[in-house]
Amino acid sequence: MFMTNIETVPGKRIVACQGVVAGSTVRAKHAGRDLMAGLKNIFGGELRGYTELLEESREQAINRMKQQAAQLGGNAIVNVRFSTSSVAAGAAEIYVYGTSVTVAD
Amino acid sequence: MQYQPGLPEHNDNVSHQRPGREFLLLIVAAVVFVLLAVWVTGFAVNWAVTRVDPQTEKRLLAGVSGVLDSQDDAHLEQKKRVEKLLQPLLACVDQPYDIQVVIQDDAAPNAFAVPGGQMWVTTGLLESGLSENGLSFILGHELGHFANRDHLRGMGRSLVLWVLSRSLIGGDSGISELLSPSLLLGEAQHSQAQESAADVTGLQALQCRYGHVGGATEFFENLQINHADSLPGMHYFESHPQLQQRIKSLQTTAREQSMPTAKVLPLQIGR
Amino acid sequence: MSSQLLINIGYLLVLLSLGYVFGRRAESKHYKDIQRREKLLLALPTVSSEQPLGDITVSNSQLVRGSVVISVDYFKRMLAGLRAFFGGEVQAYETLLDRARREAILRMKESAPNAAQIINLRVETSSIYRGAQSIGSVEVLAFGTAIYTADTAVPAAHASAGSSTQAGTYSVRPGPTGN
Repeated sequence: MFMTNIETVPGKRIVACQGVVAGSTVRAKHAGRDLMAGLKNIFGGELRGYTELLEESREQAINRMKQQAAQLGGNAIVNVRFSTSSVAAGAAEIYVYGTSVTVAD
Repeated sequence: MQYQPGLPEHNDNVSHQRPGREFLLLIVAAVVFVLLAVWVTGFAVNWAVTRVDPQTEKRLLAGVSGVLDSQDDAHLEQKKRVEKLLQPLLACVDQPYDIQVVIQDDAAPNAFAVPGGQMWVTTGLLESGLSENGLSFILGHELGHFANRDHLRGMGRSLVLWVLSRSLIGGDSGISELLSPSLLLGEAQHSQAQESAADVTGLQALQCRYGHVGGATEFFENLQINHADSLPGMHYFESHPQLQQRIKSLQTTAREQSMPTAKVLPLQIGR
Repeated sequence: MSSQLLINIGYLLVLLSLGYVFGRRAESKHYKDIQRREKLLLALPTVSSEQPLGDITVSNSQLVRGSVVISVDYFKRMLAGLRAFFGGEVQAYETLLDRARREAILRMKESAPNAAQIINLRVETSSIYRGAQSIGSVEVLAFGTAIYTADTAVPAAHASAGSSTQAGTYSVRPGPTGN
């Protein structure tokens, strides 16, 4: 399934549109990662544990969005946008949305 | 281009597991984890405590607790007599502190082993009708706390568990209220074990000093008269074992170690 | 000391059960309501693209928005706290945010009943904290540009829901309904 963050899928023609589809996950890191992050708060540097966690969550959110588009009969998603927010102590929410379309050559 | 409106058949953005079941699972796992952490901390602290000598401990505690009292003049006479009673017991119990007796003016019968080496005895205890042997048992029990370095142990445990809980749970999570009962349980069980161990030391001190253990259970029997038992099941959370249980354990230990009982001596400590 | 503990545990259990019972009830009521309104508003195309769908002569456009703030109940909060200890998906909050977002988008659509389309949909989420507590509530804002054609920009009295007589080369075809 194609995904772009522009209006179209380059090289293809949009023949139908199903409207907005979205995928979201809320993931919490476990206490161990918290510990390392606490230490990093002192020393600075990339929080690799969190980066991985959010990347996994994003993957899952994108998959959920693709599934929703497939349910509606689309085969591509255009104008994809991401949003991350922290909703609880230690948990982050990833929201990805776009417009589900059917493309043909 | 066509607009094909539709709604998805199933909502992929939510999991469909039942929240009640998930909650129960998680809380059981969390309680088990906390109890395990307390247990492991116990071992670690026990090991560490044997490596701290009393001088260092005194210096550590001097900064932490300023509780060391000096004796007021009204009870100097009683203090001297309690110290006379304490002397032979010191020979019977191997502990590294120099013990100082302080008499506290308090109607409640009690005795405290204070970190650093002070032993507090209330006037209520001296007037509660104990025999000399009964009081010696109490002194021996408190010496047991000193011998086992119970204060340092308690401090070490609190410190380690506090650091663990802050780093793993964090300051503003809601589950600290949820998990504190299990933490309390772990600490209460440890405290009860400490008290039982000190009871055994008291018993051995009596045997060593008098050649018999008559009078060991006097204090608890006196307390039982007015004491109300805690609610069923809640005795696991108390810091001391139940009175009846303490009396039974002392009798069993005396039997197992062939400690005889004999007549007790009257207490000779004036007002 | 043990009676104090019993009181604490009892208090906790009461709050948890209140949160569980009333929270679940509110949630299922809300979901039914959302599904009903989504069916009604299905005919209003909403896209996140900047370009309108198809060839359509736009006579008027307007920025429209819808927002909602939904609060967390005690049970959800505890569940999230436990999850933050062990890691994994915080299922309790997934439903919360799903509801909030669909509600916000619905409110946005409802604020433009005569629009032909809504384009350039954006969604913003934020959590409202109350002091040091981890979460009090979640706010979702959905906004986009509603475009009107000469046909549809009519007074409310003459509007027909789900009309498919707009000028333009796109047609409305009913799709599968569900959830």
